[in-house]
Amino acid sequence: MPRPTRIIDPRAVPIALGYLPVAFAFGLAAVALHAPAWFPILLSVFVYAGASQFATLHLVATGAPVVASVLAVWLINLRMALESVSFFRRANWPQRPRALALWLTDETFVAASLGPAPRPWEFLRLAWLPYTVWIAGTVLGSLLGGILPSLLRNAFGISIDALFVALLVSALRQDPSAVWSALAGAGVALLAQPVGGWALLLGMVAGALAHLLLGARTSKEARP
Amino acid sequence: MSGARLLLLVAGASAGTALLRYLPALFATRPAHPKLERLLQGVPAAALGALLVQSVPTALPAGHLLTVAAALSVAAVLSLRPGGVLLPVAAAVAIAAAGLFLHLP
Repeated sequence: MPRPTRIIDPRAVPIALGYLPVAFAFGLAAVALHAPAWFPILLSVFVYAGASQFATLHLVATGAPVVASVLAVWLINLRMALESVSFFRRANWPQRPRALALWLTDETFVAASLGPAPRPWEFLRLAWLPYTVWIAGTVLGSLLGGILPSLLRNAFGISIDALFVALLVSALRQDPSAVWSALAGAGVALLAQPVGGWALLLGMVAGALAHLLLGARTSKEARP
Repeated sequence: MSGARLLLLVAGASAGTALLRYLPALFATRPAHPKLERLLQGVPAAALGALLVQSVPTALPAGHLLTVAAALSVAAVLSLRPGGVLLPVAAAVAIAAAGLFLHLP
Protein backbone atom coordinates (compact mmCIF):
# COMPACT_ATOMS: atom_id res chain seq x y z
CA MET A 1 0.00 0.00 0.00
CA PRO A 2 1.45 3.45 -0.88
CA ARG A 3 2.34 5.70 2.01
CA PRO A 4 0.09 8.70 2.53
CA THR A 5 1.46 11.84 0.93
CA ARG A 6 0.14 14.35 3.47
CA ILE A 7 2.66 14.96 6.22
CA ILE A 8 0.06 16.19 8.72
CA ASP A 9 -2.92 14.19 9.91
CA PRO A 10 -5.90 16.63 9.91
CA ARG A 11 -6.66 15.61 13.52
CA ALA A 12 -3.25 16.98 14.53
CA VAL A 13 -4.28 20.56 13.74
CA PRO A 14 -6.95 21.02 16.45
CA ILE A 15 -4.70 19.25 18.97
CA ALA A 16 -1.84 21.63 18.11
CA LEU A 17 -4.18 24.65 18.22
CA GLY A 18 -5.31 23.58 21.67
CA TYR A 19 -1.75 22.97 22.87
CA LEU A 20 -0.46 26.39 21.79
CA PRO A 21 -2.16 28.58 24.43
CA VAL A 22 -1.57 25.99 27.18
CA ALA A 23 2.14 25.72 26.35
CA PHE A 24 2.30 29.51 26.12
CA ALA A 25 0.70 29.84 29.55
CA PHE A 26 3.11 27.23 30.91
CA GLY A 27 6.13 29.19 29.68
CA LEU A 28 4.66 32.40 31.11
CA ALA A 29 3.94 30.78 34.48
CA ALA A 30 7.48 29.42 34.74
CA VAL A 31 9.04 32.80 34.04
CA ALA A 32 6.63 34.42 36.52
CA LEU A 33 8.09 32.07 39.17
CA HIS A 34 11.57 33.42 38.27
CA ALA A 35 12.65 30.00 36.97
CA PRO A 36 15.36 30.14 34.29
CA ALA A 37 13.96 30.04 30.71
CA TRP A 38 15.63 26.66 30.03
CA PHE A 39 13.65 24.95 32.81
CA PRO A 40 10.14 25.02 31.23
CA ILE A 41 11.62 24.38 27.78
CA LEU A 42 13.47 21.23 28.97
CA LEU A 43 10.31 20.03 30.73
CA SER A 44 8.30 20.48 27.53
CA VAL A 45 10.94 18.70 25.42
CA PHE A 46 11.54 15.72 27.72
CA VAL A 47 8.38 15.31 29.87
CA TYR A 48 5.75 16.50 27.34
CA ALA A 49 2.79 16.06 29.68
CA GLY A 50 0.87 19.23 30.50
CA ALA A 51 -0.74 18.44 33.85
CA SER A 52 2.46 17.13 35.42
CA GLN A 53 4.47 20.06 34.05
CA PHE A 54 2.14 22.58 35.71
CA ALA A 55 2.26 20.49 38.89
CA THR A 56 6.07 20.65 38.76
CA LEU A 57 5.92 24.45 38.66
CA HIS A 58 3.59 24.43 41.66
CA LEU A 59 5.93 22.10 43.57
CA VAL A 60 8.98 24.23 42.74
CA ALA A 61 7.11 27.34 43.87
CA THR A 62 6.19 25.73 47.19
CA GLY A 63 9.76 24.57 47.77
CA ALA A 64 8.99 20.82 47.70
CA PRO A 65 12.02 18.49 47.77
CA VAL A 66 13.27 17.19 44.40
CA VAL A 67 12.48 13.54 45.22
CA ALA A 68 8.89 14.38 46.23
CA SER A 69 8.40 16.45 43.07
CA VAL A 70 9.74 13.66 40.84
CA LEU A 71 7.47 11.09 42.53
CA ALA A 72 4.48 13.40 42.10
CA VAL A 73 5.20 13.69 38.36
CA TRP A 74 5.40 9.89 38.04
CA LEU A 75 2.09 9.43 39.87
CA ILE A 76 0.32 12.05 37.75
CA ASN A 77 1.67 10.40 34.57
CA LEU A 78 0.82 6.84 35.66
CA ARG A 79 -2.14 6.84 33.27
CA MET A 80 0.30 6.94 30.37
CA ALA A 81 1.30 3.34 31.11
CA LEU A 82 -2.35 2.33 30.70
CA GLU A 83 -2.65 4.36 27.49
CA SER A 84 0.56 2.84 26.16
CA VAL A 85 -0.55 -0.76 26.84
CA SER A 86 -3.99 -0.11 25.33
CA PHE A 87 -2.56 1.56 22.22
CA PHE A 88 0.30 -0.84 21.46
CA ARG A 89 -1.75 -3.99 21.96
CA ARG A 90 -3.94 -2.79 19.10
CA ALA A 91 -1.14 -1.32 17.00
CA ASN A 92 1.06 -4.45 17.02
CA TRP A 93 4.14 -2.63 15.65
CA PRO A 94 7.70 -3.99 15.41
CA GLN A 95 9.97 -3.17 18.36
CA ARG A 96 11.88 -0.15 16.97
CA PRO A 97 8.95 2.17 16.11
CA ARG A 98 7.55 1.57 19.59
CA ALA A 99 9.89 4.38 20.67
CA LEU A 100 7.16 6.66 19.28
CA ALA A 101 5.39 5.90 22.58
CA LEU A 102 7.34 8.89 23.88
CA TRP A 103 4.97 11.10 21.83
CA LEU A 104 1.86 9.49 23.27
CA THR A 105 -0.23 12.09 25.09
CA ASP A 106 -3.85 11.93 26.26
CA GLU A 107 -4.97 13.67 23.09
CA THR A 108 -2.84 11.80 20.53
CA PHE A 109 -3.73 8.52 22.28
CA VAL A 110 -7.46 9.19 21.99
CA ALA A 111 -7.20 10.39 18.38
CA ALA A 112 -5.03 7.41 17.36
CA SER A 113 -7.03 4.80 19.25
CA LEU A 114 -10.45 5.46 17.73
CA GLY A 115 -10.81 3.90 14.29
CA PRO A 116 -8.38 1.49 12.62
CA ALA A 117 -5.04 0.94 14.38
CA PRO A 118 -2.51 3.34 12.83
CA ARG A 119 0.81 2.24 11.36
CA PRO A 120 3.97 3.94 12.68
CA TRP A 121 4.17 6.62 9.97
CA GLU A 122 0.46 7.34 10.40
CA PHE A 123 1.00 7.92 14.11
CA LEU A 124 4.02 10.08 13.24
CA ARG A 125 1.80 12.23 10.98
CA LEU A 126 -0.53 12.73 13.95
CA ALA A 127 2.06 13.28 16.67
CA TRP A 128 4.86 15.48 15.29
CA LEU A 129 2.88 18.72 14.95
CA PRO A 130 1.40 18.81 18.51
CA TYR A 131 4.87 18.04 19.95
CA THR A 132 6.50 20.78 17.89
CA VAL A 133 3.80 23.30 18.78
CA TRP A 134 4.01 22.33 22.48
CA ILE A 135 7.73 23.16 22.53
CA ALA A 136 7.33 26.27 20.35
CA GLY A 137 4.52 27.55 22.61
CA THR A 138 6.64 27.02 25.72
CA VAL A 139 9.61 28.83 24.15
CA LEU A 140 7.40 31.75 23.07
CA GLY A 141 5.69 31.94 26.46
CA SER A 142 8.93 31.89 28.42
CA LEU A 143 10.76 34.32 26.15
CA LEU A 144 8.11 36.71 24.83
CA GLY A 145 5.37 36.85 27.44
CA GLY A 146 1.81 37.95 26.72
CA ILE A 147 1.97 38.72 23.00
CA LEU A 148 -0.82 36.33 21.94
CA PRO A 149 -4.13 38.19 22.52
CA SER A 150 -6.18 36.66 25.33
CA LEU A 151 -9.24 36.40 23.05
CA LEU A 152 -7.31 34.12 20.66
CA ARG A 153 -5.79 32.13 23.55
CA ASN A 154 -9.23 31.45 24.98
CA ALA A 155 -10.86 30.69 21.62
CA PHE A 156 -8.11 28.20 20.70
CA GLY A 157 -8.61 26.56 24.08
CA ILE A 158 -11.89 25.06 22.92
CA SER A 159 -10.39 23.36 19.85
CA ILE A 160 -9.28 20.24 21.78
CA ASP A 161 -12.74 19.90 23.36
CA ALA A 162 -14.37 20.23 19.94
CA LEU A 163 -12.00 17.52 18.68
CA PHE A 164 -13.00 15.27 21.62
CA VAL A 165 -16.69 15.81 20.80
CA ALA A 166 -16.08 15.01 17.13
CA LEU A 167 -14.11 11.86 18.03
CA LEU A 168 -16.76 10.79 20.54
CA VAL A 169 -19.57 11.13 17.98
CA SER A 170 -17.50 9.16 15.49
CA ALA A 171 -16.67 6.44 18.08
CA LEU A 172 -20.32 6.07 19.11
CA ARG A 173 -21.38 5.69 15.49
CA GLN A 174 -18.86 2.87 15.02
CA ASP A 175 -19.48 1.11 18.36
CA PRO A 176 -22.55 2.19 20.39
CA SER A 177 -21.34 0.14 23.39
CA ALA A 178 -18.50 2.71 23.78
CA VAL A 179 -21.10 4.97 25.40
CA TRP A 180 -20.72 3.03 28.68
CA SER A 181 -16.98 3.58 28.78
CA ALA A 182 -17.36 7.27 27.95
CA LEU A 183 -20.11 7.83 30.54
CA ALA A 184 -18.30 5.93 33.30
CA GLY A 185 -15.00 7.68 32.47
CA ALA A 186 -16.69 11.10 32.53
CA GLY A 187 -18.70 10.40 35.69
CA VAL A 188 -15.80 9.08 37.76
CA ALA A 189 -13.43 11.80 36.52
CA LEU A 190 -16.01 14.38 37.54
CA LEU A 191 -16.52 12.86 41.00
CA ALA A 192 -12.77 12.48 41.49
CA GLN A 193 -11.96 16.13 40.72
CA PRO A 194 -10.90 16.78 44.36
CA VAL A 195 -8.03 14.27 44.00
CA GLY A 196 -6.50 16.32 41.17
CA GLY A 197 -4.07 14.43 38.95
CA TRP A 198 -5.61 11.05 39.84
CA ALA A 199 -9.03 11.92 38.39
CA LEU A 200 -8.13 11.06 34.80
CA LEU A 201 -6.54 7.73 35.73
CA LEU A 202 -9.53 6.77 37.89
CA GLY A 203 -11.92 7.75 35.09
CA MET A 204 -10.00 5.60 32.60
CA VAL A 205 -10.01 2.57 34.91
CA ALA A 206 -13.76 2.98 35.61
CA GLY A 207 -14.54 3.37 31.91
CA ALA A 208 -12.50 0.28 31.02
CA LEU A 209 -14.34 -1.74 33.70
CA ALA A 210 -17.68 -0.48 32.38
CA HIS A 211 -16.68 -1.63 28.89
CA LEU A 212 -15.78 -5.05 30.28
CA LEU A 213 -19.10 -5.45 32.12
CA LEU A 214 -21.75 -3.43 30.27
CA GLY A 215 -20.13 -3.29 26.83
CA ALA A 216 -19.98 -7.08 26.66
CA ARG A 217 -23.65 -7.33 27.67
CA THR A 218 -24.70 -4.77 25.05
CA SER A 219 -22.81 -6.68 22.33
CA LYS A 220 -24.50 -9.96 23.31
CA GLU A 221 -27.95 -8.28 23.29
CA ALA A 222 -27.26 -6.82 19.86
CA ARG A 223 -26.66 -10.28 18.36
CA PRO A 224 -29.61 -11.73 16.38
CA MET B 1 15.62 26.08 43.87
CA SER B 2 19.16 26.08 42.43
CA GLY B 3 19.95 25.34 38.78
CA ALA B 4 21.45 21.93 39.63
CA ARG B 5 18.32 20.90 41.56
CA LEU B 6 16.06 22.06 38.73
CA LEU B 7 18.16 20.01 36.32
CA LEU B 8 17.89 16.99 38.61
CA LEU B 9 14.12 17.49 38.74
CA VAL B 10 13.89 17.61 34.92
CA ALA B 11 16.05 14.45 34.64
CA GLY B 12 14.00 12.47 37.18
CA ALA B 13 10.64 13.59 35.83
CA SER B 14 11.52 12.94 32.21
CA ALA B 15 13.18 9.54 32.86
CA GLY B 16 10.18 8.28 34.84
CA THR B 17 7.64 9.57 32.31
CA ALA B 18 9.61 8.05 29.41
CA LEU B 19 9.65 4.67 31.17
CA LEU B 20 5.91 4.89 31.89
CA ARG B 21 5.29 5.42 28.17
CA TYR B 22 7.92 3.10 26.69
CA LEU B 23 8.06 -0.01 28.90
CA PRO B 24 4.36 -0.92 28.48
CA ALA B 25 4.77 -0.38 24.73
CA LEU B 26 7.60 -2.94 24.69
CA PHE B 27 5.72 -5.60 26.64
CA ALA B 28 2.28 -5.06 25.07
CA THR B 29 2.90 -7.79 22.48
CA ARG B 30 2.38 -10.74 24.82
CA PRO B 31 -1.00 -12.47 24.50
CA ALA B 32 -3.41 -11.46 27.24
CA HIS B 33 -6.56 -12.94 28.72
CA PRO B 34 -9.67 -12.08 26.62
CA LYS B 35 -11.16 -10.19 29.56
CA LEU B 36 -8.01 -8.06 29.82
CA GLU B 37 -8.21 -7.41 26.06
CA ARG B 38 -11.81 -6.26 26.45
CA LEU B 39 -10.83 -4.09 29.42
CA LEU B 40 -8.09 -2.40 27.40
CA GLN B 41 -10.45 -1.84 24.46
CA GLY B 42 -12.57 0.35 26.72
CA VAL B 43 -9.69 2.66 27.66
CA PRO B 44 -9.85 5.09 24.67
CA ALA B 45 -13.56 5.94 25.03
CA ALA B 46 -13.13 6.15 28.82
CA ALA B 47 -10.19 8.55 28.40
CA LEU B 48 -12.27 10.61 25.98
CA GLY B 49 -15.13 10.96 28.48
CA ALA B 50 -12.78 11.76 31.35
CA LEU B 51 -10.81 14.33 29.33
CA LEU B 52 -14.01 16.04 28.21
CA VAL B 53 -15.35 16.65 31.72
CA GLN B 54 -11.90 17.74 32.88
CA SER B 55 -11.17 20.22 30.13
CA VAL B 56 -14.53 21.71 29.12
CA PRO B 57 -15.00 23.78 32.31
CA THR B 58 -11.63 25.44 31.70
CA ALA B 59 -12.00 25.81 27.92
CA LEU B 60 -13.27 29.38 28.15
CA PRO B 61 -13.25 31.92 30.99
CA ALA B 62 -16.09 31.64 33.51
CA GLY B 63 -19.38 33.19 32.45
CA HIS B 64 -19.35 31.83 28.89
CA LEU B 65 -21.25 28.61 29.49
CA LEU B 66 -23.74 29.20 26.65
CA THR B 67 -20.94 30.01 24.24
CA VAL B 68 -19.15 26.76 25.16
CA ALA B 69 -22.38 24.77 24.85
CA ALA B 70 -23.21 26.33 21.48
CA ALA B 71 -19.69 25.76 20.14
CA LEU B 72 -19.55 22.11 21.21
CA SER B 73 -23.12 21.42 20.04
CA VAL B 74 -22.30 22.73 16.58
CA ALA B 75 -19.13 20.60 16.60
CA ALA B 76 -21.20 17.52 17.54
CA VAL B 77 -23.79 18.14 14.81
CA LEU B 78 -21.13 18.75 12.16
CA SER B 79 -19.35 15.53 13.28
CA LEU B 80 -22.39 13.52 12.21
CA ARG B 81 -21.56 14.16 8.57
CA PRO B 82 -18.84 12.01 7.02
CA GLY B 83 -15.49 13.71 6.63
CA GLY B 84 -12.69 15.07 8.76
CA VAL B 85 -12.65 16.78 12.11
CA LEU B 86 -11.35 20.12 10.89
CA LEU B 87 -14.74 21.64 9.98
CA PRO B 88 -16.38 20.88 13.38
CA VAL B 89 -13.31 22.19 15.21
CA ALA B 90 -13.00 25.33 13.06
CA ALA B 91 -16.71 26.06 13.58
CA ALA B 92 -16.38 25.64 17.36
CA VAL B 93 -13.34 27.93 17.51
CA ALA B 94 -15.12 30.56 15.38
CA ILE B 95 -18.21 30.46 17.64
CA ALA B 96 -16.02 30.69 20.76
CA ALA B 97 -14.08 33.65 19.33
CA ALA B 98 -17.32 35.41 18.32
CA GLY B 99 -18.87 34.75 21.73
CA LEU B 100 -15.85 36.14 23.55
CA PHE B 101 -15.60 39.14 21.23
CA LEU B 102 -19.30 39.98 21.71
CA HIS B 103 -19.14 39.19 25.46
CA LEU B 104 -21.93 36.59 25.13
CA PRO B 105 -22.73 34.51 28.23
